[in-house]
Amino acid sequence: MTDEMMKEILGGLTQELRRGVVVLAVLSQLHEPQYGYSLVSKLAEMDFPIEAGTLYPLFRRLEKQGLLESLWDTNESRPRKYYRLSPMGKDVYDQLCEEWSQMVISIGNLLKSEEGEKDGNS
Amino acid sequence: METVERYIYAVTRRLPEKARADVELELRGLIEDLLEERLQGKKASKDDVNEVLMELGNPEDLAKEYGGKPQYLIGPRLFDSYLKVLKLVGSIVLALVELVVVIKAFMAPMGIVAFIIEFLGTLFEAGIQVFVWVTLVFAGVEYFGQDDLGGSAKEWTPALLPEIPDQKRQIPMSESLVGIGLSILFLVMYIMPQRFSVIQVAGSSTTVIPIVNQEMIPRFLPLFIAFAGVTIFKEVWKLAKRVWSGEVAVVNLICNGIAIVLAYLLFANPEFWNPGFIEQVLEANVSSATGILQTLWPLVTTRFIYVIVIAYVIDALSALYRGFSIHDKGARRKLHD
Repeated sequence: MTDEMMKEILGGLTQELRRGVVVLAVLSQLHEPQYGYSLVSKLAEMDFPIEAGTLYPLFRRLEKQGLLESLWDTNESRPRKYYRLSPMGKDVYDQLCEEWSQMVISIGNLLKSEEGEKDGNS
Repeated sequence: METVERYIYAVTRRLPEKARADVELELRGLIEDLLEERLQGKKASKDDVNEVLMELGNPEDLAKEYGGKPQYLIGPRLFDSYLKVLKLVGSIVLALVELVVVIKAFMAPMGIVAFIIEFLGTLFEAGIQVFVWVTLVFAGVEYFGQDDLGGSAKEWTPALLPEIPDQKRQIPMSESLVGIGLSILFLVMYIMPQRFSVIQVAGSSTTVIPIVNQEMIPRFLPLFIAFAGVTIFKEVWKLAKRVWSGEVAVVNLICNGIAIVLAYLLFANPEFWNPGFIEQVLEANVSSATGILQTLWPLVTTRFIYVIVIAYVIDALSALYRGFSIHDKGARRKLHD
């Protein structure tokens, strides 16, 4: 297998991993209202860049599911749609955080145990 | 900025109506934000706009992200069967109508140009009819069928696993396709009565004597469509289920029941048939066939309903037999021992 192919596979898998946590990352920043582009910049600053083409549709989906509420601000030079967590969205976010912590612990244990075995064998 | 508008349009046109205005505003805001960040107050050049749009990617993909539904009349799930039925029905109907045209041409020699025009005209007319009806049927299945033909929305349990097809219980696909084909054929025949008539040719004049009452077609057409529709529905159902079962047999029975009632309302009604048929035949002076036609006509018009009823009853009974067949259960019990 060439390096290139390996890189490609790795890239795909990493992307899938990220895709799973994008929602969590987005929800985490929406206790205060944000419009799409402000969140794109913010997430990029925090080293979790996400494309606008992914975020905007995601906003709408989450709003449809009732996790977000939106508000058009027409006072500024250009109209902007602000989103923030709905009460239900807050609940879901909190529980999702729990799930995430659990998962980090479980996966952490799995990785550690694997490492332990490797050490033991060598 | 025209490119921007075109880009926004390319995205929103794929979205549901309600979402369009909102997404449009939002997208325009986003693109302006992106441009502003890139330029820091300078004026945007065409290249800047292009680069920003490239960053956002193919509008088709963006629309997909937005959950724009793939918009099609007949989806990939049905398309194969659609083509199959279209070809089958098309070839039967076109062969039949063209046969009539050719026979007519033999009986009353016409100029080659007239023949070609007649041939192509018929081909065109019948082709459109077949296309429209087959497409309508499949679009209906696509629209109303939802998941019935593929995965079902019900929660899956192992009990839902389809049986491994047993040769005896399997519904031959050809049977359903022929059923659908015949229904559409009847429908087209009814809508184009002048193509399916007794045709008398005397010298250079041709008399067309339709079998059905042409004046009543508008009144009977809804019933006729329902009659063909219920049969088509039944066959599509069988196509989807593939194997005879009690359930399929019962649905088959119900559909046949409805079809019989509709057939009774149609064919048993004297107004359905051309009331002046005999007179027109006599008038046209069909030399050899007059006698036969005169005896056949009352028989056909009054007994046709019986033929239909008997055919549907036999079909229902044989479906019940195959659906609830004791023979097969016995065979399965043997497997369990």
